[in-house]
Amino acid sequence: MVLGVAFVVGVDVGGTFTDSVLVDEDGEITFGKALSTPSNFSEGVLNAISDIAQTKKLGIEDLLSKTNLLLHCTTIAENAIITGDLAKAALITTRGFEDILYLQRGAYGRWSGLPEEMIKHPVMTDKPPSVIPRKLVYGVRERTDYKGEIVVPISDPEIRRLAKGFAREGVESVGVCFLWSFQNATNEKRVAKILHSLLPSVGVTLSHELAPFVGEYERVSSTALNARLAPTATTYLKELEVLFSKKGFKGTLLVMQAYGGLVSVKEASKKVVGLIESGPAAGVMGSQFIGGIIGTKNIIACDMGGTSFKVGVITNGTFDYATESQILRYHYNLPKIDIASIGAAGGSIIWIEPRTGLPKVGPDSAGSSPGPICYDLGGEEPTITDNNLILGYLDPEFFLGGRMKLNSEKTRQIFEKKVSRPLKMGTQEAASSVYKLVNSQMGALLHKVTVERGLDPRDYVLFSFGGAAAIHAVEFARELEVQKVIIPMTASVHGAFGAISSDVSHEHFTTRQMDFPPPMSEVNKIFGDLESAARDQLREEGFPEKRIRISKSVTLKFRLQVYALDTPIVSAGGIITEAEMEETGRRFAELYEQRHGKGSAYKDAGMQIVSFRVRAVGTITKPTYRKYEVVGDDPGSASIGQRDAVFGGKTVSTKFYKYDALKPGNILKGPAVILTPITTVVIPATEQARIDEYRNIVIDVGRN
Amino acid sequence: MKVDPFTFEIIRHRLFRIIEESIITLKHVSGSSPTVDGNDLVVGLYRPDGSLMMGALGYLHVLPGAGQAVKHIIKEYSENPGIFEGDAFLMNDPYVGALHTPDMYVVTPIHYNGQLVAWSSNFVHLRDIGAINPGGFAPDSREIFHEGFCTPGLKVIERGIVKKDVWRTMMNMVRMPEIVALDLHSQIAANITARQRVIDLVAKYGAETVGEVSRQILDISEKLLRERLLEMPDGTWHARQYLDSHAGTFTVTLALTKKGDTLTYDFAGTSPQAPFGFNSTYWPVVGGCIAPLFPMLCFDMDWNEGLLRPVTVKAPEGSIVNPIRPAPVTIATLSGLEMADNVALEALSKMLLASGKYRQEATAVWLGAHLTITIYGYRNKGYMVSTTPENMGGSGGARTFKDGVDYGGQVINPVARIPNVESMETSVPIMYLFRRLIPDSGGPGKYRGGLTTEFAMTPHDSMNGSVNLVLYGRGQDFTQCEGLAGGYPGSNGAIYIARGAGIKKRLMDGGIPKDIKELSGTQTLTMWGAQQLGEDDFVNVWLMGGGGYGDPLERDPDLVKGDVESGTVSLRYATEIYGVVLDAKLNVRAEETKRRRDKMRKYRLAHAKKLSD
Amino acid sequence: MVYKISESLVIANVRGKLVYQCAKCGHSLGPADKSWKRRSLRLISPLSKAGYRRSTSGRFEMREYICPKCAIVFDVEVALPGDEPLYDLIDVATIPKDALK
Repeated sequence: MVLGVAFVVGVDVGGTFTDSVLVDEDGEITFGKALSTPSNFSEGVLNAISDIAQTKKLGIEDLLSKTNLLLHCTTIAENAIITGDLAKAALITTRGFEDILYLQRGAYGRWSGLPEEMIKHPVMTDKPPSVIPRKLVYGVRERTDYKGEIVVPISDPEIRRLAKGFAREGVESVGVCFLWSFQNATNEKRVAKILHSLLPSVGVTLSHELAPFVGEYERVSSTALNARLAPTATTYLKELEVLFSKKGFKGTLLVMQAYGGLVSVKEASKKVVGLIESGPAAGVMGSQFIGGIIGTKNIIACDMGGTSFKVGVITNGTFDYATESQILRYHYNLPKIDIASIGAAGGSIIWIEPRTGLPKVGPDSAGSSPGPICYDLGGEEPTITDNNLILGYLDPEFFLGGRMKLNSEKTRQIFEKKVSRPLKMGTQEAASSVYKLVNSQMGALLHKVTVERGLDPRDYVLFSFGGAAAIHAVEFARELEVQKVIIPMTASVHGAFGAISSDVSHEHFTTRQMDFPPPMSEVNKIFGDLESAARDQLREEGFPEKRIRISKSVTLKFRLQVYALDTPIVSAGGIITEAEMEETGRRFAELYEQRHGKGSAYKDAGMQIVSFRVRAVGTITKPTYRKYEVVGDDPGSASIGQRDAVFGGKTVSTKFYKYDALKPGNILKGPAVILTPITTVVIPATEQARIDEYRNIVIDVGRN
Repeated sequence: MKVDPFTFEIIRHRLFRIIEESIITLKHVSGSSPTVDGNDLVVGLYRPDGSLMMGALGYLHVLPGAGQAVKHIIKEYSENPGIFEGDAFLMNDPYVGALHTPDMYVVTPIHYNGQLVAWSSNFVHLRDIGAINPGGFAPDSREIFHEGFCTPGLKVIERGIVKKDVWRTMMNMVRMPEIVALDLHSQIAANITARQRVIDLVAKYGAETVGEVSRQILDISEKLLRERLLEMPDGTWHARQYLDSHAGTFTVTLALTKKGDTLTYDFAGTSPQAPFGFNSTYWPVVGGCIAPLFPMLCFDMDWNEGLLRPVTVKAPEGSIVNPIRPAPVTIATLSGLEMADNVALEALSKMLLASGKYRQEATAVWLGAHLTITIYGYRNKGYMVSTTPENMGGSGGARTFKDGVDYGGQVINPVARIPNVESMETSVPIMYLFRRLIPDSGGPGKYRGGLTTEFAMTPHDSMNGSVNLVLYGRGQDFTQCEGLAGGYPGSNGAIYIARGAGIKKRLMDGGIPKDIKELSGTQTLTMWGAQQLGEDDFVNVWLMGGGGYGDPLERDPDLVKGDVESGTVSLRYATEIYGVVLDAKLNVRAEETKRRRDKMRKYRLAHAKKLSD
Repeated sequence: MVYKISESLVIANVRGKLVYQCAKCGHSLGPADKSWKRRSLRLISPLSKAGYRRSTSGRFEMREYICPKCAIVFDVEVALPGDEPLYDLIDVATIPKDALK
């Protein structure tokens, strides 16, 4: 693999669009976009790249032949779960615990992932079907204890019998999950060996490799999900490689993982669950990269579209990892960038509660189908997007870069019937009040996200992405008392941009419980093993020494408290000293109280190490986020005239601008609206925006 | 005063978010498993007069008692010692409104510009309270004086400063004071969060507006419930549950009367109070009545004091559901109160079945009784104690349109989850033998009750190879999850102590057999008292399956086929109870099924008697 | 038209009089202002009839209240032998008028 030469292309498959970004030798960035094609994703991927080829006046084969790295965020995994395109998989687990997957930790499976309205109505709730049905779960004779001691070994004949049965039943994939497997994987490895010898073409997922963390339910759920997803995802990736190769691509295809690193197709195929939500993860990577360039270390990144609203947080230039992940009400536990989900987005329905006459937002959503009324796809319920159209913030002719015309007439009619008239309000007044209500509620939900993570939003900058966020961003900022809002230049393709601003990265763990302070000889042995495995892997992938970066951390917790935190170890040399370990312990206590509140750390209980982690990064040359010449503060040349829009309940003559024509240095005084190909930026009367030298839109909130 | 609907909705929504953030703080600062996982907590915001403004999704039966705590403090202590900005009060007296002594309330007044604008109150289940047995449930208690530290209201923080003498006194009286201290810290911090956010809200919208909104929120809930009650016929529905204890059988009887837009829960006929801690004081019983009411009939309303206004609860003094002090109440939450929850749900379900529009909301009993045991022991010189969590997984009662959810939890605490086996194996010095479903545990019916689970544990890596158990169970005779509308009851609970089972050797040789009856040694039903397990012993606990709905002979034979295929119902009971005949390939034999069911009906008619007989 | 009271019980208007009826076979269970249970038949069985892991102590009994004609089970009580049946009552005057034309 050749690095840092010729083209690097990033592609992110989203719900509606597939975005692409190309960076050439000079650091010049070109964007591309095409509609996503869920029936056959690779089509949309190629189309998005063709879009760039067209802009660059190249044929697609020509472009691909000059591309050395293709970095891909795929939704193949989530999609397979949604459509049910899942392989027939069997699960082998410890006898006596066959039902753990089905039990879903009691009521947990029944209420998790549901909106509050449904949780209050338990009679109408159900658990999602078990990932692997009970009749395909086989409990075998084996047992490992909490220390990693083998209490009961594997019985080879039992496994061989199972394997033969699998062959007869046409099982396509097998998951193996034993209790405490991450403490001692001997039994899982033995089973794998037997299965490989008898069923060489059947993929095997081992829980200690996939998700070596304590908590058997999440681990077995991860294992089961992986086993069922692996054939589809692996086939997709292989076929994609072949397709690109046919079109002249001779470089390396790397795939984004949800923990924010790129891996080879081979690696990705081993842990397909790691593909879930890789797009949003890439988005966070992109925010981190941009933040690094413009000198912003604390970022609340809001990505609000029609169907989802995701929030990622970057603190001091880094982000946290999630401890509990869900995909469509299924639980899993793989390293994953912590991304929160706000339960409302552009498609959330605005309605009047018939018994009280009170206005409500959601939880029902028009989604993308039938979608908002204004999309004219059959939607009959007013949504936040419809409300924004009525307020004059959306351009019905220029929506989504002109790809879609909006039906203002129908929208107004239905809004009047269903919202303003029941409230006995004028349409403008009602729409303005709805906007305030939406901003207040979403702002409060955003605030909750910050409280959960123990951060003070006043120290942060809000980045806005997605089709809908920039319409509300300044109001969110005011709710949170955030000082600045930035709509990055790359906002329309930030997932793809995030992919190309990432590095190859692998996570190596050993989960081992140890009292703190630990014996350093053991600590260094564990890290030594992890580090050499990590370096070997990167070397095999073609990274020279100077492009390899290793960082070490331990996950610590206080005994008697459940919350564990990954704490970086700062070490001068290869061997970690006692003093450096002590310092890590101090850092953990500090981080703990930052996250959970003053006085929350139960230091007297003593600390425990839960796991050891090595993050191995193979660096890839990043795109240059080009600095442009500052031209002047007059945005006149980008103006497309004055239009009526509603601010503070009143119709105000508002300046509209086209983003593409704005120049660095331009200052736009509110009330103003900036139209970009995928979103609208609303600048209220008392604010002003400026275009910085990177062509980001920056709004310093409350400065005027 | 008129508040525009949008401002109203903004403030209303904000109040709920304040409670959520308060809960987040509670969990963050505590970090303890029962709080974080078990969700054994409640947080509420109260109006200045102590009426519940907004309650969170926790143990619903706490809400009325929590309101009483606030009202009591206002009534008794406003003058002496006085209520000031920055104060916090403790309250855990069951005879004032707590469920039992381990459930400690921390109550904080919220002031803005010197004016009292609200209260924040929460409770958690403390790990110890200094009762006669360790761990929060005291089977040896005979009167409230055996139940540890107990206060009807005690100021622990004054004007922002923790009162050292009060704090030390409480810590002096409990085991594991560091853990109890941590829980209390988390409760105090949660209230501080709530206080700050309420102050922010009042600063933005004004005390008058926020006060008006909070008043109207209550009125709206009251109005909505009354309107809904008027949509259904009046009547009186009865339910009865039994406490099958080692000290005799106690009965809880309920008559639920709906008249117009009011509900009266009358417990006349309930047994006199018990000599052991099965009793539940009055306010928790009020909680027991509304705990099923809120999610079953008020699911689309805000849960606050307004919903209590149409409700009256009558509980005879000196009975199990309104004992006279100093009667013991330590196990209320697993007995007296739980039975009140169950009969309230049963009677309400019957009322809903006759309600026309709300029939679908009726359900058979879920979970039944919390059958949990306290385990403690030593591993590597560290003292470890825990209560087993599996009971929180419960079992779903059948619905009028669908089976109950297997291991679906319970109606009255909507958001609990149980810790993992691996979590427990590092919390107490034991090793699990299994945690698995019990086939056939769901109550048979046209729609069957949800399955429940059983588990077994043996000492592992513990000092002297032993662990201690404290048992306070029930439900081995009376099936707690009764069926509805002809449905059969779910399975009974049980605790078995197995001795001399040679577990360790058996594990080494061949692992756990499918049926533990295959193990050697003696297995004894043991529901009560202190026990010790040695290396060769294990404890096996059965939980209770959910109640069924409708006559089992009316169940669609294809559904029964599915039950047998999935291992939910055995072939034996498919035929014996459901009357469904399946061939070797498990296909339904329609003709034979019809004949068999007719035969079973004839048997019923032949052996049933008139009531006067 | 009938008014549904429970899974297998309805109140019907029979020539101007309101009576309880079996929802399955239409058998009359007497006037609606008294409990239907009095006109049903009762089958008493041990709890084990409900299946696996039901108590065998004999302390409680399972009572099935059935239709005297078609034997469908209207209601099941689990009770101490000798304890009175539970009789529920509806105020028929408050049943919505249009439900029982």
